[in-house]
Amino acid sequence: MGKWLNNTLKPADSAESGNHADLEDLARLVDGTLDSAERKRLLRHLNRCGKCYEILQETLKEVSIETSGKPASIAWWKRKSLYALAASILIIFIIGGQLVNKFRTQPSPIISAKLTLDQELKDILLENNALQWKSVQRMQRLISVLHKKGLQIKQFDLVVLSKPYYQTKSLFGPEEILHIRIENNVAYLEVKEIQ
Amino acid sequence: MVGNFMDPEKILISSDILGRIEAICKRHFSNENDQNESYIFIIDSLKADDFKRLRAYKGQSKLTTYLYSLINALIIDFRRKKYGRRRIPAGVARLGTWAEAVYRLVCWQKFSFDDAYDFLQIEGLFEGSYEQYTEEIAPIQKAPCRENPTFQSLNEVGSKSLQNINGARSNPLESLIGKLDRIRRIKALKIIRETTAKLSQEDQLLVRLVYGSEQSVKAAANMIGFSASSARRRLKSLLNRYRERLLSAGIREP
Repeated sequence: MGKWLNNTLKPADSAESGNHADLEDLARLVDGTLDSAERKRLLRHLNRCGKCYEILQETLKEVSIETSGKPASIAWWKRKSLYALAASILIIFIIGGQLVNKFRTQPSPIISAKLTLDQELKDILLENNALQWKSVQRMQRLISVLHKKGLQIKQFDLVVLSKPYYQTKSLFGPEEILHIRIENNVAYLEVKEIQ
Repeated sequence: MVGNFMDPEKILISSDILGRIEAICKRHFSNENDQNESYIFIIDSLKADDFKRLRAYKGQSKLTTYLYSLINALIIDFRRKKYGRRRIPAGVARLGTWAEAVYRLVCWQKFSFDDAYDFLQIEGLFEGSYEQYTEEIAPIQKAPCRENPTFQSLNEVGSKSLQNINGARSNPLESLIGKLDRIRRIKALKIIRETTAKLSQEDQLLVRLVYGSEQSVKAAANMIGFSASSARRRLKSLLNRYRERLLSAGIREP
């Protein structure tokens, strides 16, 4: 944005600013559905009210981000297909993991999977904030939870966490996924939020 | 849809909507605390008084556009609540209106002190010379500024100014301003402001949106009720008008 013109042309907060535009009228203006008289009245206000102009400016930005194919967040149908894809990959890894266990004579495989981070897994991660653990009991607990989720892993010698895990306290906390990769008897864990 | 059309509580459990709110907060604030605080402020405000703000939706616009307007209005409220005018340090306020303007420009809008001087000249808020200005801003430079920690560095702030001027290439007015020396720049900006104020309401907003905030011509035109091609023709003729006024004041591209 041009810094000089933006600041020079931006309407000042005037006395008229006390009486702000109706937000739905602003939305209708952005949608292009206001009739001519309403639009004229609103344009006059927008040329004089800094706050309403800023709301309009930002709303236009959001709408243009959405329509330019770079949505602020992924549309629900895209999310569902992503979940479906993730689930398919997970199933492939689970079946693959089982097959690998059957044919263990072959070199140690790399197993990786994505699991929804539920309370059981969180409890294990929150036990302490060490980034590497070798505690047999803790590893056994993790293995038994992974078993319950269909990952037939017999053992690993070390767990490496990419960063300390802290539980989100927000009521609207994002859903989290545990990425697990087991290679050469080392389990690499990484928690990612679903965007 | 809200109001009589949909239960607003459903809107606030939609991960899509929550994701959009979060994305907007992140776009507005670089500081993680502000992002989280503004997110909570928006959710609380949307829930307040039995979802009054969501229930106000009458279904006359697209729901997403209404939500964007609402969320952006709340972001502005949050910012004003947290960094509003009352937060101008008393020591700065005592220096007068010009000092408050400098504080707002440098601390909140992240302009350099040099740029702030130019804006003071445009607004007619500081009559003294640049040398006097550099002496008199000393107490402002020492004032605390949570939004812009580099506030106190006169030399660095200009180069680190967070305003994006990449768009200047496609913005003939901004591009011209960028090439002018200080005296001419101040003069040119005054002329641009005066010329804009004399335009019709439609043309004023078109210029503000396209050259002031660099929205696309198509989006601005759709809103104002022009076709994109008619808006382009209008802008061309408006640019000619600015050019004539600037030339008659002796300002040309160096």
